[in-house]
Amino acid sequence: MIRTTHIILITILFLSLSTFQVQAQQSQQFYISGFVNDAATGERLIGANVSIESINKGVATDNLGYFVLQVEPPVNIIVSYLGYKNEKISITNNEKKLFHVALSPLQTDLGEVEIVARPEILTQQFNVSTLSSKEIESIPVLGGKPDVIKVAQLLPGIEPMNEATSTMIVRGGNPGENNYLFDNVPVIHVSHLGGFISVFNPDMINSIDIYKGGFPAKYGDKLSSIVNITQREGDKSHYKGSFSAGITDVSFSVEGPGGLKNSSFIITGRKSFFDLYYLGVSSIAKLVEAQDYSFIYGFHDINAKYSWQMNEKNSFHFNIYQGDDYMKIWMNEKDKQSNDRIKLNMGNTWGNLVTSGSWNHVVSPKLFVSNTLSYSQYRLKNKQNFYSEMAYDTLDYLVTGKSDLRDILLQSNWKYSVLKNWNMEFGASASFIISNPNKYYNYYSDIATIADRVFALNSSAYLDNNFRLFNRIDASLGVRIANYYSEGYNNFSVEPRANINVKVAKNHVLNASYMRVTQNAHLLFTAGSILNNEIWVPAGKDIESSYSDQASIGWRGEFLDGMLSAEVDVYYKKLYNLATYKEGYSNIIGDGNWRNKIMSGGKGTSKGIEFLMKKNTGALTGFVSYTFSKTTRQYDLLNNGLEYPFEYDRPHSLSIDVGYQFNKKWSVNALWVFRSGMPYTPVIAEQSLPYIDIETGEIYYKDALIFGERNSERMSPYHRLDLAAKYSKIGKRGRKVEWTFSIYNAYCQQNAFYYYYDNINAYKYKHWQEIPEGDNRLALYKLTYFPVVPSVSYKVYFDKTTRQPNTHVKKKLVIKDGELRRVEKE
Amino acid sequence: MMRLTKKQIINSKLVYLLIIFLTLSLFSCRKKVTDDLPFYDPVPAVNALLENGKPINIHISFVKLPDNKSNICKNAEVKLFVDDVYTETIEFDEDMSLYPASTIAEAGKKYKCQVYIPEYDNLSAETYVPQPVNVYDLEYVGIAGYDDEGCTYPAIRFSFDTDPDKMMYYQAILPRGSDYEYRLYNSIDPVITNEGNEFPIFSNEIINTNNYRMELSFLPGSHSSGGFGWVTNNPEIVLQFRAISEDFYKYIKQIYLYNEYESNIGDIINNILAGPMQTPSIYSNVSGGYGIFAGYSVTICDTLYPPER
Repeated sequence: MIRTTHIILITILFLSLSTFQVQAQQSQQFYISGFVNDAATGERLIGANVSIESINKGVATDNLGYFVLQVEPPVNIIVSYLGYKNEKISITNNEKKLFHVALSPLQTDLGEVEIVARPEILTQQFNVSTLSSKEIESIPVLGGKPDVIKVAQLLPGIEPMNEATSTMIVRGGNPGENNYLFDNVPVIHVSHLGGFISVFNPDMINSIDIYKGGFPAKYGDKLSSIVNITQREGDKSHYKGSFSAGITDVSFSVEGPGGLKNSSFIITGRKSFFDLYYLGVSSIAKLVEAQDYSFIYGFHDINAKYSWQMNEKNSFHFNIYQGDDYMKIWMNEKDKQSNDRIKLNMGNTWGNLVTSGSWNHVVSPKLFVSNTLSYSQYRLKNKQNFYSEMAYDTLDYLVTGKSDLRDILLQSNWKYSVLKNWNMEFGASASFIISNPNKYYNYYSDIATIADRVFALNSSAYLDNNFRLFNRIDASLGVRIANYYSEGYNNFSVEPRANINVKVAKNHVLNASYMRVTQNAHLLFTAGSILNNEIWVPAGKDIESSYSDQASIGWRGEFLDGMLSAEVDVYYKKLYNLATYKEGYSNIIGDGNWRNKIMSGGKGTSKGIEFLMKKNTGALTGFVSYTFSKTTRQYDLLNNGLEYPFEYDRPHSLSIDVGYQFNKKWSVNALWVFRSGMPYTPVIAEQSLPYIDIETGEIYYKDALIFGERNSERMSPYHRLDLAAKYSKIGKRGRKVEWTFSIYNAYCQQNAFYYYYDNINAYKYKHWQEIPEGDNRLALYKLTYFPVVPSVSYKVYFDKTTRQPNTHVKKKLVIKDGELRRVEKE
Repeated sequence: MMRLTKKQIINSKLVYLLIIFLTLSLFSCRKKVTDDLPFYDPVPAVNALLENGKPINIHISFVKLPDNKSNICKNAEVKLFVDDVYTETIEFDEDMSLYPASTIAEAGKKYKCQVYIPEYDNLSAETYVPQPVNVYDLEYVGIAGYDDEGCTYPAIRFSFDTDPDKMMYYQAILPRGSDYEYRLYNSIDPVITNEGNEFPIFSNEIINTNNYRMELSFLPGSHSSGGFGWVTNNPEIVLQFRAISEDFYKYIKQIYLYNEYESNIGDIINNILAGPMQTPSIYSNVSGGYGIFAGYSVTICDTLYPPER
């Protein structure tokens, strides 16, 4: 006890001395701040390095392209960013403290040399996977078009839920434990096409950071990850766009000046391709009288953003995202003779609406604030309308079901530079959440209508202190305080956060982090149906808020002047108060007592070691990512209360990606993925037991399988090779055109989607025939999808500033000197 | 008239071939992993459902490999206790292939059986037979709702006594004579929906009074009238209401989940978007082995005669 007190006192004394020392120096020093943008488009540059030339010490710009740096004139500041010319700012006095730095893109074909000051390794964040748009676009995925989440799944600690899905499992967390933020605004439902395509349109993405642990205090509300997606701003100088088509969807983007000075807009959209396919098949089937209804399934999404830099200190941003998946069946038949009429209209629709407005303001070179007001909505609804008009009767029947979640969020985030080596981030947010997990309406019945709306208020405040000590230690110590209130249930949580980097050598840093996070909404889903069955339920008296503790340590190093980088992270995570459906329940829509169908109090553990090595520069780039992990779950009502492997536990996960840029036109990429098979529950025997007929009440003996411990066996390992080639050229009209050719699962590995037991002679007999006892044999089967899947996508850019003169020379074939020759046309 | 060039024709054929190839490539494939299932030591299973007023029959077998024939245990020593008092030792009956006791199950009594099989661990299980329930005020409701196709369906309403101070468990059955008669459908009674599935197996968890009026809706079914279309059935209704022990309740719920699992296997195989299905474990209250030992009492209600439809 005495020893601990001594340590605390010494620490306080040390910090005080450091502060005096810093204050003594402060007479000549002052702060500068500013924004770094692309000179051509005005797009903010995230992660640009702003450093003092003489001592090569600096900071990186944040997600708003904003930086703060303490300087002592005279001094030169170098601003650099990969792919851009460096910019030098000479500061001789303290008259100007706010800078807008515009970097010009490098024209590499003019022979300019790319020299980039790399961000200090000490300031680089651990437990964060960062993806550039180049990485997203170069790695092959199923369907051919880039998908940010599928690329993220290749990084250590991040796994897909099932093959080819865009749902993430981060360090053994549940799929609903990832906080997807679109410009700091939460997006609730993140996939199209039953999880196979993510809702994040790559045309709209500037950068993506995925925090797997060590969350800054600013972030919370979800236990396992923060997926921070920064959207692009439109080009402020001129209009441009693109159009792209793949095997699943077509997409477009349009951007340009927004009317006001220093303003811009960008609109991107995607529409699935196969609606027309289904409609065509349905029409043909109707024509040949194989069926009398039409069926379509499809999705769309649209993003729009308006940005206005009103003056040097103020900027405004308005975003809207809307995306839906829909499945519809309809019929409209009329008998010409009898005038009888039947109309059927059935459908499921599910998706998001997100709108937000934000105001960023530079109060002083030391103080910056960003305020955002947003509205997010996820809803799943189904409708069944049947109308019949007969000579003797008319019937109009309507049933609707709905589950939705709405979130109105106000947040204010501040940055303050207290001292030279002490920066502070603080802020607060208040969120009003309306949950409607379960609404059912029957036009004919007055007792079947269930309106079960739940209101909740979720508020939080945070403080993060970033200290630099001895130029070797970068420490971030913070706390997040959150309070959740809903229908008499109150959950107050204090979430400490700590993240410490220690520079042990020039290019080597060690890290240790700890965090606690609380989550107040549970995502329920059934493994047997992922199409449209996600339901969010709010925490309450019966289903308490979940929380997690995670600690990690890591090392990061750079070699050969940053050409190679490597990192290792070891983590341990505990999850508490997890919730899931009770055994045998898969849906709560239409159920007024839905809370009874959910079991809570579940616990989870995940531990693992992650390894990542990257080659960052040169024509040959790539990475090797490996994770060894173990993840378990424990519920009192499952598996006799014993701990069991998590449904998506995969101990080994390896990804090897190699890309090569042959020239300006051609680049290729190869990706090999290996993962341990997912667990399944084995049959261990069969027993004869009394069966009670539900309809008649009769009791008779029948055989039933006995399953062993939950998830105690494992499917065969998963592996595949994906290949891609990208061809870029200037088209006949001077427009840039890209073709991407890819092959998913090139060697046609039959990976198991899942295992199941079935009779070995199930298809030998008709369904009405009884299988003789001798043929009644059981076997274990696997179901596989996605053999070799080739795909192609096409993208054309409409940008008159980069449009190049048509260099194609028309040629014709002539016979000259007895030989067939190609000559230029006259 | 627009004519296609040869190159365009070849390109369009390539596009069609590509579409066909892509479509085919998405098809799923079923492949056998193994039919050599691991062998486990046979473990005994004791099963008996004790009905009030009927003799007690105990079925003892060994669990087996799924491909093997049933494996009845004939050499067990079975001791029966009633209200913790030894009552009899039951011998195996070759004709019935089970262990029939001379004891008649009685409502309100507790039963325990101990099974000794040479070279195996001892097995034991106990349960109680609940008192039969008083069911009254049966009523036929002609239109209780509309089905998926907009057609009306009927229901019955009835009251039964219960005790809100202790957990009690029930099962309601509308026995049907043939496949063309009624089946339970879309129950919206809160006591049943509280159970989370459509089966009328429920507890008095949310009943706070000494009696409860329940509504059970059902589809009456229809039958062919010999070439003159389909005629809606209008059969007489005999409600069978069971008071069941807690073990019976847990067991029967799991049995129906298992049944759902078995019948849904075909659906998940054909559904690309379905994931792995969780396998239900069947409830057992037999210590030292598998099986179920549970009691129930039956109340047969008055016959209801629906009006002509």
